[in-house]
Amino acid sequence: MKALIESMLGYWILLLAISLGLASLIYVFWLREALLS
Amino acid sequence: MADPAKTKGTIKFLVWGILAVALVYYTWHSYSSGQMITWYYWEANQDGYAINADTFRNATKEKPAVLEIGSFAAISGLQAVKVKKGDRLPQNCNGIISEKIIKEGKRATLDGNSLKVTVPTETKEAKGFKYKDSFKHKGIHTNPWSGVQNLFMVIGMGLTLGYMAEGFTDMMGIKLQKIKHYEGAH
Amino acid sequence: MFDFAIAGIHAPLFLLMLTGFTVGIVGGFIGVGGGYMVTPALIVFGFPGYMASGIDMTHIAGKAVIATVRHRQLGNIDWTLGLAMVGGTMLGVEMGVRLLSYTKALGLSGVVLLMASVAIMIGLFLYTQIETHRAQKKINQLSSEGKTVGRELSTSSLPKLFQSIKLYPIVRCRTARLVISMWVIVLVGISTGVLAGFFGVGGGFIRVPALVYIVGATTHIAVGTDLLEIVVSGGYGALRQSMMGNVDMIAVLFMIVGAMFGAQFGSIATSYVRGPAIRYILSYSLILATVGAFLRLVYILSGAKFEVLNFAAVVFTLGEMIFLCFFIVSLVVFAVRFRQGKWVPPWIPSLVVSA
Repeated sequence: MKALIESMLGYWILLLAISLGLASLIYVFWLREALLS
Repeated sequence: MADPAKTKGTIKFLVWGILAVALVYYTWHSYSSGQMITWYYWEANQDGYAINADTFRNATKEKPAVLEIGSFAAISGLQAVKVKKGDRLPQNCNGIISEKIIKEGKRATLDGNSLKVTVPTETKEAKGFKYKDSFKHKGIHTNPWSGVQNLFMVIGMGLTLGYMAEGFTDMMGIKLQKIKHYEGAH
Repeated sequence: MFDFAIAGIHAPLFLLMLTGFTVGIVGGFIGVGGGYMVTPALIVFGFPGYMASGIDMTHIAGKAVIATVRHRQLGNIDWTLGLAMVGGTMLGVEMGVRLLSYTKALGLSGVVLLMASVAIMIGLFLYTQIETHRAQKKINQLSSEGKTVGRELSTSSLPKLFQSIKLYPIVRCRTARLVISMWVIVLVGISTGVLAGFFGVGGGFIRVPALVYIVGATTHIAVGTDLLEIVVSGGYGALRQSMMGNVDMIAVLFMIVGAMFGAQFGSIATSYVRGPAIRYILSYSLILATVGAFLRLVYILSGAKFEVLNFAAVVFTLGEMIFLCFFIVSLVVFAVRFRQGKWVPPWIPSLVVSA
């Protein structure tokens, strides 16, 4: 984990992964039903 | 003794805060009293039938919605009012089914003194995403003053909330200094 | 869920305020309106396409005012530069919109247009990334030589070239410390406006790099000055969209409440960082917006059949907003830690200011 944070690219990837994970949760809990299939 | 900068900040926060709350209340009141909605659905922008699209959102080809045509002051349920471009819209109207759509006959048809709606929504695409497009907002013209009112509300809220936040940081003693852009090597 | 009577939909209020908040942070920090993120997000929440653009444009005007008030306090606005540019920008946007209808009438397809905008964004991303990387290296080098490095460091030689054009009238911008031909400022306004109007991406994306790399303003001043421009162009857009019946003011109200907190944080966050940090975030937002647009393009081209592509496009649209916020917040957290003498990653000291 520390190695990831110590490189800017690593930090970038780590944050992007967390953000996309959170966005997936929002999709599953709030939006899936409302969106058209 | 109180810090004069903090006192000044508190006054700034309170004055702008009161103005911001007043503006937010004004916006909410215009909406809840129906004024904003009436100004939005103001007059007809095309010839057709004024309707309330929410009343027949589940209509299908097999189970069409049959709207009674009449000269109602307010639309209640499955009713429609014939309007010409420039006419004021009846109350509760939120869209117009145009003459053109009726002539095409794909989504709605005339049947004596009633209007039969078979396709209430169409799937459209914007910015790569699909959305359901109904008769809502179609063929309507907003009151020209609603643009001015919206602009006043949005700029007013920006200014009052912006200065209120500035007063808040001053009040808390977080006095922000101007950034020194040109100090050091650059 | 809230029943929006004008837009005619039920939408989650919490998500609307969260969108306002996150885009407020990003907009306040890099000086963009954020339409590239908000419009798709609003469509995902259920707003019809035309309303999404209208609500977005109107909320941008309010948010830009909030951020401008704060940037004014931080001394990030050059009023002469902003007001000299705004006329050109408005003219440019109008020209861009007309050019778009003209080329559409000639039969130019939307896909070609989207591809061209993707190419421009990738070009801008690469230039910003490479230049900022060079600037970061130079900061490290100057620091290791024991020199005090300032708030801004840009390695681009383009501004000198444009500042050497001595075409009357010459404008003196006091805050930005620039002496430059009015024609350069107006032409930058027109060309960035044309691109914005033609490709439909907000002007800030292109205008902030143009202010830094062509006009030669510091990144902080480019951000503040661009927000001032957004107040004018966004205000005009809000008026136009409202008159066209594309605005649900209650949705705007909730977004502005969220944006107030976000814009405060984003604007104040600029005082913790050096110019290159803002340029990095700007370039990240450029590439993420491009990938987002590309995903949506693939979804449309595939005939909107594969649900997984829709899922990817939605998740990416929301994810890019969250990512940019996290990055800005973590920059501030690291800056505070750096000031307190605590451990920070080795790439942080060149991007933040110590006091």
